Amino acid sequence: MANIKEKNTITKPVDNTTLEETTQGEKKTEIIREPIFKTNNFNLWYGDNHALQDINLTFNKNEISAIIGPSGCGKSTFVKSLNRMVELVPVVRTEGEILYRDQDIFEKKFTVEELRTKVGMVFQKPNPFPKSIYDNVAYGPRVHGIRKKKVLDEVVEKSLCDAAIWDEVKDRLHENALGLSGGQQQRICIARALATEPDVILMDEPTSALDPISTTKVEDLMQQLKKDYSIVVVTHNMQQAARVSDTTAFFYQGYVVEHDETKVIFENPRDQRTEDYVSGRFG
Amino acid sequence: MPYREKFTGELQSLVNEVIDLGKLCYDRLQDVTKLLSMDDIEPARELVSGDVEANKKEYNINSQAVTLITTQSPVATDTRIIISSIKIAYDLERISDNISNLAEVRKRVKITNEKLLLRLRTMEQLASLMLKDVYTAYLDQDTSLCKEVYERDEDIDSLFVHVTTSDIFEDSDLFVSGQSQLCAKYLERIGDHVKNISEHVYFVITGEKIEKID
Amino acid sequence: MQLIDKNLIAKKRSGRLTFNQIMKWLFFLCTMIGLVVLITLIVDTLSDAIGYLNLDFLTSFSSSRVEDAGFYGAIIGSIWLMVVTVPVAIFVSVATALYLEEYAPKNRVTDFIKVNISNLAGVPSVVFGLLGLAMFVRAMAMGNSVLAAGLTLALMILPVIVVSSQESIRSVPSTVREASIGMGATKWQTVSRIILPAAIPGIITGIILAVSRAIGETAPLVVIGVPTTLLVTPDSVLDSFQAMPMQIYAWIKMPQEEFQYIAASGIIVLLVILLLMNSLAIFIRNKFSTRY
Repeated sequence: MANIKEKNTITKPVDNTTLEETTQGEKKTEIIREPIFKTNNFNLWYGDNHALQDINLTFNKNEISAIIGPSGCGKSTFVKSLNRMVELVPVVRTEGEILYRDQDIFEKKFTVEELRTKVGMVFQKPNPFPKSIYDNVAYGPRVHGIRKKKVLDEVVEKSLCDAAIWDEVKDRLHENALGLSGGQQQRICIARALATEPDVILMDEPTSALDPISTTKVEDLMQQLKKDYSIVVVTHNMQQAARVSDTTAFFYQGYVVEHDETKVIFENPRDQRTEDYVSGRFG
Repeated sequence: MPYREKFTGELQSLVNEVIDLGKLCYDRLQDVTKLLSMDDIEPARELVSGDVEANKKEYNINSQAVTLITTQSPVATDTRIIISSIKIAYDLERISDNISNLAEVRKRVKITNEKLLLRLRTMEQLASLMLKDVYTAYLDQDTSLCKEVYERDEDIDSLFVHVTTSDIFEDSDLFVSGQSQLCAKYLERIGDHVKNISEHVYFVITGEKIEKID
Repeated sequence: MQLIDKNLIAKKRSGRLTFNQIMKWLFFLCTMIGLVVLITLIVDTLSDAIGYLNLDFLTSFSSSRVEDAGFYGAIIGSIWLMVVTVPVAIFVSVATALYLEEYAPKNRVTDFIKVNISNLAGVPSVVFGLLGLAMFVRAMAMGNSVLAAGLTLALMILPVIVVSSQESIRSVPSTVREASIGMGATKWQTVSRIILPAAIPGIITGIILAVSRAIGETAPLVVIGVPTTLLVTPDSVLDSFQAMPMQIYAWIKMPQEEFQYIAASGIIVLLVILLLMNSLAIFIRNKFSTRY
């Protein structure tokens, strides 16, 4: 009974705030919406396999853009193209352009090292380095030549705070990061990505290896990060895309079937294949 | 489709329950105005007691819908079907209530005014036809029929206005005319609920709100 | 419908379990064979060596007289040899492994090189001796110096370290590699800060095996012409030197029976030095060891 009462008392103010938020949200979508990534007829081949076909997508600043689609639809390949990690596969060939803030990322003068500093990445499996928590987070700044201990200390603290894990690890910064739980490791990896102060964070199925509680924490974290960063997230979990993202792109067999506001994709998609996929009827 | 067979089956059974409730209401609506002028009061009593069945069906639909939402995480059309099922079930239950209310009137008074009975009968048949058509519209996913049903409510409304403002009751006593007006009101409410249902069906099919034809 | 006969399964069960036990004991016996041989060898050698193993033996030079014969020159010579061999071998082979695994394009040429390096590991040591003789001793006119022998041995153990380093580098999860590259680190930064530290345990294991082989190797030294009797220790890598396995080999060839015991003492010293080197390597390996 007590619980129910509490819940009831909470409900009313929540209603008010959601009302305010939606009105603010509407304003936001009208005013900002500055594109951060834009692809123009982007094509990609793995050898003879035409993995991505004529991708035309725009991702906006301070938004979470989700990419969903069945396995092998090219969503991971696409997100890895955004920071050119896809080029680690030797037989990759690309065509068309990807504009990061109106600059083609495939241009000669734009080095991959510079691109990857601005476009950080969080991977499917938590992959901390076999080093201390501190060294993990300080890795990015260090490879970019920051040596001053004071600066590093601050960066490490800020990144860990931003990744919502500072309180859990502040007393054991110099212990091996591999000793943490999977969910903590993944947040360390997010902190590590934040430490280079990127502009965009790419997340390739960031919670697929995590338990539900850790997943919730990472999702909450994404909402926090949205204020300062732009996020592109690939996910197998459609409910996650529905929960966290502002826009959703549905990939199928290497092309974009539908890209729209998440609300539209999950409430009333235009394409029958999108409808079937989001309602779990193929995939 | 081989995917989500259990869910698809449960969703279909939910829809079937709604259709059942709709058929029940449709049957109850048939010839309800004829009762008003009957000498025998028993059919009216029976009709009133039939409402229990409708209430039970509405409850079942709601609980099935809640289970589907909590266990199956529906999206897109699936969500619209479930949410609309709840709403349509509510409207159907209200229709059933109004039918009972009409029968209740017969328990209090017998209406003999032929002119009035004819108006009420027309309203009943209009509503009945709307209910039938909205069902067809759902089966055929026919959005234009939905819109048509939506518009046809206006006919019932204007008949209601006509009943309440005309001079039909001049020679009746106050109690009878009051009860007669109630009957017209109940039928008008039934029309409104069918109109709502047409909106829900339209929403299920398109995901959008019905736009009024100007 | 029953596709599986439950009775048959029950009948076969005891047979399976017995066979399981038999195999376990068979494997245990095989392990014991190696262990027993090693213990016999050590006990036998130790019993021969025990009377001759003293401080004098460790501090005097070789001599044709049994009572004066010592191992000092050979120990120091072998240490000099290793000082040349180990760094050269480690540097060249780890660099080779890194190139092959991290930098080289994945194509037929690379595959061809990899296969050849593996094959090189199987080449008999005497062949390396001949190569050393032709290349370092003669062509480069190094003579039978520490440098010539050291480089020859380095060449000999190179493939072993390359192969084990390759394995070790390959076993570093690619996710970690991607994490580093994904942060804008250069290839070299990734290699030096992430890959090498993670691969070091495996690399060191390879080095232990290879260096143990090098320090006990006789054949190439015979071919190169390393002297068995020398009364000075080398002052530089260009000087001639003695080596432990060569000295032991020379003593065993001597007609006097006592030299067999002297040789046994030499073997014990060689074994102890090997053991010390291995312990050091294991210590380093554990210090760097990481689990994924």
